[in-house]
Amino acid sequence: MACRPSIWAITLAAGGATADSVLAALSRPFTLRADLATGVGLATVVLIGLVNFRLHDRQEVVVTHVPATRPGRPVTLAWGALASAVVIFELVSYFATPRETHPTISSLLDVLAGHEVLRGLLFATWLGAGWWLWRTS
Amino acid sequence: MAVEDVVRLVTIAIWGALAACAAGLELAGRFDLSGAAPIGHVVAMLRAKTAGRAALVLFWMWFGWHVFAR
Repeated sequence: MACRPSIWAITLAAGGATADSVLAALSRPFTLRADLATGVGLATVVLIGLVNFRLHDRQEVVVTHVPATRPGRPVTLAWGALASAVVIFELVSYFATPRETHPTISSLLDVLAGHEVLRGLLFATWLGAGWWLWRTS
Repeated sequence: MAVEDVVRLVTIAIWGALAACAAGLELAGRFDLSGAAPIGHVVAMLRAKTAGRAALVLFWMWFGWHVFAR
């Protein structure tokens, strides 16, 4: 039988994620508050993920992770080639100076994350992505 | 226009072109053109393997810490 979280657990997780996103939105990088907001979010998602995995192991649930429509080799190659191009250009930009002339993904994201509301939304999306990665179904 | 400004513009244009390629692949996947698949399917395929999931989780951890904390 699959382990489904209760409505209270979902409400608590959503409330916690919202509160942490607000804290992150109001924090600037390289501050204790930013470390705290990111660290708490990261540790909580990892902890919940590990507990979730353990519960599934105990219940001996057969979990199917593979998507219904499995992408073919050309598709994987196309996305892989694009990811490689991004990594190579990121490294080229990273080692070239000055940063203002050679912006990296991080420096471009800094502009986006410079606005409090956008930073909060980006943080909430990051937490959601983390949760999705740990999901067992 | 100074050389630095041109280099900056070219760098941003290359990032834009890469983003456009990603958007094109994603749209082709969503509309099922030329057998393409959206990024979600590829990530889900990676997530299905323990090593793939571990790599994705490590990348997620690094990305969050790098963007929001340090």
